[in-house]
Amino acid sequence: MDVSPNAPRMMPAEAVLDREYLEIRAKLLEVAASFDRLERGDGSVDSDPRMQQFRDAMQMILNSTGNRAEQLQLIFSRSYAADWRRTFQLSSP
Amino acid sequence: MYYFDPHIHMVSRTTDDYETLAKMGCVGMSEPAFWAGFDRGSAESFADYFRQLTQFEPTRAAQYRVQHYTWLCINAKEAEDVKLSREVLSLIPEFLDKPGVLGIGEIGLNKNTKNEATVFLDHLELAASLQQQILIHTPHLEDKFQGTKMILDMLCDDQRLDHHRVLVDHVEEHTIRDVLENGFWAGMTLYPVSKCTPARAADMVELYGPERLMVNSAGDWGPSKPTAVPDFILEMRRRGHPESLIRKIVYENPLEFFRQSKGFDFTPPEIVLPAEIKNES
Repeated sequence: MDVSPNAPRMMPAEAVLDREYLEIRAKLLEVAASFDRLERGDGSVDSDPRMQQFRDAMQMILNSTGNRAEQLQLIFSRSYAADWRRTFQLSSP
Repeated sequence: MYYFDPHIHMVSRTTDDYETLAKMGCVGMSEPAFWAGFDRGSAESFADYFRQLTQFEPTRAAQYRVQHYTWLCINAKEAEDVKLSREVLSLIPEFLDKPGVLGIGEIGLNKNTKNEATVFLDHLELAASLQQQILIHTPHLEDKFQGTKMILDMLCDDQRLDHHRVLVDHVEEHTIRDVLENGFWAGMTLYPVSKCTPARAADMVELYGPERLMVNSAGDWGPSKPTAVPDFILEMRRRGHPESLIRKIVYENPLEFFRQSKGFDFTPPEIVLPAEIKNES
């Protein structure tokens, strides 16, 4: 994971885990409960593209190393087209 | 610790909030013009809003020794109406020399449309021609990545703009690098659900360092927390970061950026004004 040379020193990983263990556990529990709620609801949302985004996000979290937050943001983002100015017929100053 | 909230919409907050912020160490704030939650019907509404920002809010803030500054524009959401936007833009120059006006903002994109981009370019023209600083709003959620890229394209295309005089706000993990690498200042907005938490803001400080980085609450009429900057301060302390680092992000960086504007006449809280000495004697 790229860290700026100006970045401050971080807490040791063990200390981060001690501090955040219960918090992470609680967040995972919320996600699990949300998926249960979606499953219990009438009908099905399995084919909704937003559900695929969730699946992609969870796969990425498990499989990636570093920059997970950035990658997760991109899963939920519209793509960027560098030729947008031509599409809009807008010229540069 | 003293701090400065560089982006907060106090027109939407109560006077009690000013008191609470002052008690928590807020000594200054800047308030960009934004969307009121409904579309205004005429340019005259904006003229009244600009008077509120330049006259009423600084007075209300001063009661609690909070120094209030502001930015003027028509926001991205209402910029979809290009005709109205151009009428509002024509009003702005008469307000730019009012005390406490720092520049043009918060301009940006909302849904990344052609009209929004057109009005954004009009604002850049106004800022460049009058040598004003700029405060940028970047879109929310799924539109943020695309919209931030488009905004950076427009900013970088304009050779008249000094990147060190532009603050790009609401950066998150997928947009902060581009903003900083292009030489702009970056603001992290601590806002529930749609933007950034104090913990994630602290993560970004740990990844990118404190240079040209600020945090703000963007407290407004929606679900938001005007005291979010102290939450960030606490998060940084709990991680063991030194007070000097935290102070740089929440106080010294905003002052360094805002001092580039001639409308920024800030009195540090340590300085007792002559009138106050006279009153105490």
